[in-house]
Amino acid sequence: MDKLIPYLMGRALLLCSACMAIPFAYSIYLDHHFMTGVFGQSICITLLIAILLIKKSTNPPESLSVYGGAIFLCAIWVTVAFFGGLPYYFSHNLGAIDSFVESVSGFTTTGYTNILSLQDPALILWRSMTQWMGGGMILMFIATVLPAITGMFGISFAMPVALKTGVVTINRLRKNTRRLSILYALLTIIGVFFFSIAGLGTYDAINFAMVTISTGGCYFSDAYLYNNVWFASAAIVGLIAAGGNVIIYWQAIKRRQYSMLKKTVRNTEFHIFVLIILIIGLICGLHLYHNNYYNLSDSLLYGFFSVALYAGTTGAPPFEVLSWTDFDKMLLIVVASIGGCIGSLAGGFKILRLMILFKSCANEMTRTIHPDIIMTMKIDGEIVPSKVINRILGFFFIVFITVAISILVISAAGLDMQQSMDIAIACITSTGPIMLFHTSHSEILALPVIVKLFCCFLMILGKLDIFAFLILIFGSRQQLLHKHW
Amino acid sequence: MRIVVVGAGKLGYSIAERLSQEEYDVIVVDNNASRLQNVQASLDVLAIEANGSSPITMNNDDIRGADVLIAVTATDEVNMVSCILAKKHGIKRTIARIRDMQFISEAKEYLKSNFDIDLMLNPELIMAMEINRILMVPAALNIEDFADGQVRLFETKVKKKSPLANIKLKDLEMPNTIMAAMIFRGQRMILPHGDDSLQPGDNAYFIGLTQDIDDFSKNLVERNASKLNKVTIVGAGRMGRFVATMLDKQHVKVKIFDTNKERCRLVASMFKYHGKAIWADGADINKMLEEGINEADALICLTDDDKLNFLLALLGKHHGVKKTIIRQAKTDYKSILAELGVDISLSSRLLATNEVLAFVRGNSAVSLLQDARAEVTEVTIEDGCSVCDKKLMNAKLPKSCLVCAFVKNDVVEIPNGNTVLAAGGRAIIITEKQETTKVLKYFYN
Amino acid sequence: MNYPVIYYMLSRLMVAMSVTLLIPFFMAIQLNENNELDFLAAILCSLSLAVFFSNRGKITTNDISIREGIAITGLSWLFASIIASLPFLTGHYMPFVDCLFEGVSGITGSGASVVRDIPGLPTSIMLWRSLTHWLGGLGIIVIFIAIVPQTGTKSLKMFEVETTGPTETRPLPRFKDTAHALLIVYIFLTFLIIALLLLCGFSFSDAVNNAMSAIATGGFSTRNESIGYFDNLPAEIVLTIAMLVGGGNFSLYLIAWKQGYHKILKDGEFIAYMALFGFLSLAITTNLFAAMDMNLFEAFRYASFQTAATISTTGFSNGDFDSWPAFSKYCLLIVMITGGCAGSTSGGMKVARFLLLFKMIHYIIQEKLHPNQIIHMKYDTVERLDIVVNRVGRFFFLYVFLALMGALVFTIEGLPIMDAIVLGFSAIGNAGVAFGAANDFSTLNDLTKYICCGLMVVGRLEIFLFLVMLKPSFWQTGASW
Repeated sequence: MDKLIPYLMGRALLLCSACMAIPFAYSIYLDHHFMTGVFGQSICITLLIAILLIKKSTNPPESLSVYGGAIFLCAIWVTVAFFGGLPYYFSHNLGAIDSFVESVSGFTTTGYTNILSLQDPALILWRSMTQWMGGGMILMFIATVLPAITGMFGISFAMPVALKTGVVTINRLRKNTRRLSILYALLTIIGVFFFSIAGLGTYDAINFAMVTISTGGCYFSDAYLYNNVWFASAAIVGLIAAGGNVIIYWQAIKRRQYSMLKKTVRNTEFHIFVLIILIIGLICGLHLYHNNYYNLSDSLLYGFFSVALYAGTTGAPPFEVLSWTDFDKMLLIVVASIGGCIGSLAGGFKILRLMILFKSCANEMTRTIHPDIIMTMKIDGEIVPSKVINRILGFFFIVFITVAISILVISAAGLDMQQSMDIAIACITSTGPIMLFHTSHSEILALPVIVKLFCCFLMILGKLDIFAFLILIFGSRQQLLHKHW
Repeated sequence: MRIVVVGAGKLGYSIAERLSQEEYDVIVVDNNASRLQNVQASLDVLAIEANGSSPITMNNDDIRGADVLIAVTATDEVNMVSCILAKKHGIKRTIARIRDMQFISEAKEYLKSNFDIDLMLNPELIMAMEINRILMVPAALNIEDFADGQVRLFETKVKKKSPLANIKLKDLEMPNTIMAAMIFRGQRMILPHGDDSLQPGDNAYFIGLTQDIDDFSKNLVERNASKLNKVTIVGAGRMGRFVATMLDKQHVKVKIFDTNKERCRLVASMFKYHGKAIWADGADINKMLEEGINEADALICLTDDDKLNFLLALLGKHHGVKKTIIRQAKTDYKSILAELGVDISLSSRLLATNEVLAFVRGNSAVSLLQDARAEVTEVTIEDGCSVCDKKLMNAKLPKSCLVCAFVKNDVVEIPNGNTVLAAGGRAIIITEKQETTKVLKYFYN
Repeated sequence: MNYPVIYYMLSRLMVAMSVTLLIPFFMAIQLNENNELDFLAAILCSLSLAVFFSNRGKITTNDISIREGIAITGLSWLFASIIASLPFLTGHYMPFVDCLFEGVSGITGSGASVVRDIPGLPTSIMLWRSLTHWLGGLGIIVIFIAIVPQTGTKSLKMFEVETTGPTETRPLPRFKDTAHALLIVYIFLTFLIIALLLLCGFSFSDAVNNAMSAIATGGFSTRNESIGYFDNLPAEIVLTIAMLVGGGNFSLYLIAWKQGYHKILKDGEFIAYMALFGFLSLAITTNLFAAMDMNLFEAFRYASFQTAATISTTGFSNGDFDSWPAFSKYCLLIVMITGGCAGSTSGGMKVARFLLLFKMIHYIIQEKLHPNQIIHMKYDTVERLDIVVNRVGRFFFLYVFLALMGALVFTIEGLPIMDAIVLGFSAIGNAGVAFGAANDFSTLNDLTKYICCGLMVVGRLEIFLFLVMLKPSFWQTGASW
């Protein structure tokens, strides 16, 4: 177990450096010598460490224990983000800590950026790629590692049977990586296609597709978004696709049972997701119109568009939203917290879990009158085991406590409660733009280092479903104190 | 006819007992010596200690080539294997007991086409369906269907205020498609004539076209009590589950109690509409009252314990439940039970045995009434039998038999003296039990 | 559903409330305040309700079931809220919504006041406000049971239903004796606090009103600036202790009285409660000292008082906490949500529930790390633990959900997000403390006030009770199918 983790890290870094080669090549193509140098440096360092790690851990063991898996998950995000931040650092755009933050924000698909107006195309490409890679990582972990380690609170229920995994083995990781990357690439290409139709140039289309499919949300050229209806709808489509359960897509394609694709759209969770977007989008739009922000059609457009983007935890680029009323902002925060469908790239609490919670409360109502009744909950005809319900209740509590503690920590740095809440929720749901709702960009840049690092921690925590981290803590405690006994 | 019964458990015993009473040659096979001993000691059958699902057993002279093999061991799989082997050893027809729910829905055709099993026996399901049928007609104590559901026999208790009481049968306003088939008064069985009248306390049997029987039965019930609304079931074993889900599908509000949490969970997961599974002891009368059993239209006690079922039904009746149905293994106490407050008691064993008997007899359906003292049989009139193509009044059937209905070419007729008993038609007759075999001979070649 | 019994109980309750109204009535006559007629009108209203119910009511020999228990408790609270609002209504002090708000806030023990000029109110009205707190604090049902004779096991259901907290502790074998004993302790403590406050120099009126408010952890005070007006350190100490006591488990006090005071120190929940209080008041002290212009002693004075006031969901204040830095205010929010101990007069989630939830998480983690190990969760002496834990989890979810939903509506009406959220939690937790734009409750607009009323009642009735009553099938005659 001890050797497996460095081995896997090494391979991940290898992949990372391979990806870095793309902006590297692009810089060469554009004749930007400085950036070429920057990327060249980054690639070299990453490659070096990768090779060292792999060399050091020859003959790694076959599988990961639960505890090992937790360590792996926590460590990989940090490692990849660190090396992924090198280009920012080397290009002197940002200091060390800020580069790390930028990188973490990219990989965790949060989408907050320290550099508001980045000019260099290769670096922009890299920024979009970090988000894209982050999305890929999330996908992979959902399919392979997370269920075994955290049970992912509901995902094992939502997934088709074959994916219920036991122990994590190298072989499985390898096979799944390949398959998932193909699926992911496919989705991205569809995205590119849509954006191209919408009228964007190739470079823009690729960037936007990467950012949208991964639900990252760090766009540039903001003006584009609000003036072009086609573009808006392309973004929404890409998003809803990402909000649906990607694992089912994969299962369908792998088994060539294309009838299963119907299942992605036919399930209750997806319906509710779309319903939420429609209803809340409508409310938001009408409210905007009521407060005379825009004319009716623009209000509705902005309403739906923003809600859709926030519901998928992508987050629309800052400008317009910042000037809206608190009610609209709260709507957006609420949809971001609710999140997307389980098994998708979106963050947030996940709709399936909320469905289960609500049904559970309804059952509790009946139990108040009949204390001894035994009830089962069914979703889409499948029975939900009581263990899953139990876990999800616990998970809700964990999330609440995490957010509460985060707000406490952030407020200790001097920000007021509202701002602290915004930042905490933005990080955990990986919807970056929420951070800017009540805080200015410069205020965030001026935060103390500890708080920034804490935010990185939160962003990663959001991707780990918090739980993996708790396992890490408890597992370590047991290792150190009791030695398995 | 030679019949092999594999499995000498309670059901096997009942079946063997019944068949031997009907004077068939019965061979009982079981690999448990003490069970076999029990059978050999009290029944007039041949008992063989052997493994019923082994080819060696099948090769036995007494077994090979028999007419029917009935496999009723405790294990479904053993029963199936037994039947398959039986067919391969020349046994003409096979019956298997299959209890597992998953097998049921597409089962019949599947079993027939793949394993050539002619009758699938599921005693719990049979009983559940029986209960379901009875419940769906409020005034009924018993309902039997014949001729593919075209003819219905309906038993009801004549109450003091009943519109039927103390009226001569010939004056009774009934459509001519139904007739009074039998009256049980006290302990006597009466085949009624026009001058007989129904008295309060009688159990009256009417038979006729299903639709007309239903309409007729509606008149016998107080206005409000027509539709079945709430049912309480105690015991969530297989039978309880079957009944509960059947009723639930028909939008009846079901409450089922069991002391085992897992069974509660299992049945709870099968409910689609208003069903509720409650983890509580049915004997806790306070809890039951809290859950409103006194408002239930019916209380069905289906636990494993006969005595408990009985007790619960009594308690329920005392607190005002309208109809009580219990499961009893022994059927001897039916009339006493009725006096004490249990409206209907059923035995799955008995019902299953009836089905077997009907099957063995070939082409007839059988029901036992009133402590098994009378039988209603649906029998096909074979070509060349002694009554065929004769008018009823000329058929010279014994007095202990009443022909209640006659079906030919899907036309149902309540016969009078002039009805012709055409060959190929089906007659539904009521006989005193001990006379049945004798009477049936009139209808066979 | 046995309606006659429900009517019977309600009629008795209305009579009891009428009798209670007599107290301020006589006081008004005594002090010549010219508002006796208002009280008379209120008394007549509640008496007529009593008669109305009593005509349809009938005690039957049957025990009542859970449904009737819930219905009686729920309806009692609803009617009590209305009657609590009556004196304000008949006196035409405020518009309708404000009267309702003040009444509900009183009886649920929230203590959020919409009255702009409190000292300007007649003494009798002030007394009535404190009386509503006092009644609602211990629980209408408890008081009812203790006083009214002839309530048998029927009332057990109602008692069970009203008692706050996830589980039920029975200090005495017969619960009627428990109710009695609780009432005695309650009265005793009230008098004790009154005496102590008098010693500290409070006027009679101030002492009585604030004491009732403190032990009931309500929060209505006799001055606009709450306790801060008096600037009386000994009084603040007395009140701090009083509020903390009010936030403790009264049944625990009974047990301690019978079996020795060390029992209190051994109770896990109480320890957690005091620890939370101690820890957070120290945190706030530090923060105030560092960020605001106060010396250490002053910071501690304000911090401890306010923390005690908020954790017990009383809502008194001895300073302008709204001007505190965000960290301190946030600490206050934390204790507001946590609330006091189960079986206390305070609101909030209750410490016991949080402890259970933490245990649940611990259990889940252990299960994950050691999948084959069978771990038995222990928590004092609770059986059927899994059912309890699940119920607590759902309660928590609904609690947060309802508070946030309320907050959402508040934002439509113009409150900033954070203030709305705090107000939401404050209402459902019956705290009576809010920040920012919601600090002065009288500035809230009507819809917000109505929703707050709703949340206050839902919170006091511990959510499920209230929600169950919303199902139409709950009210059908006959047993519940």
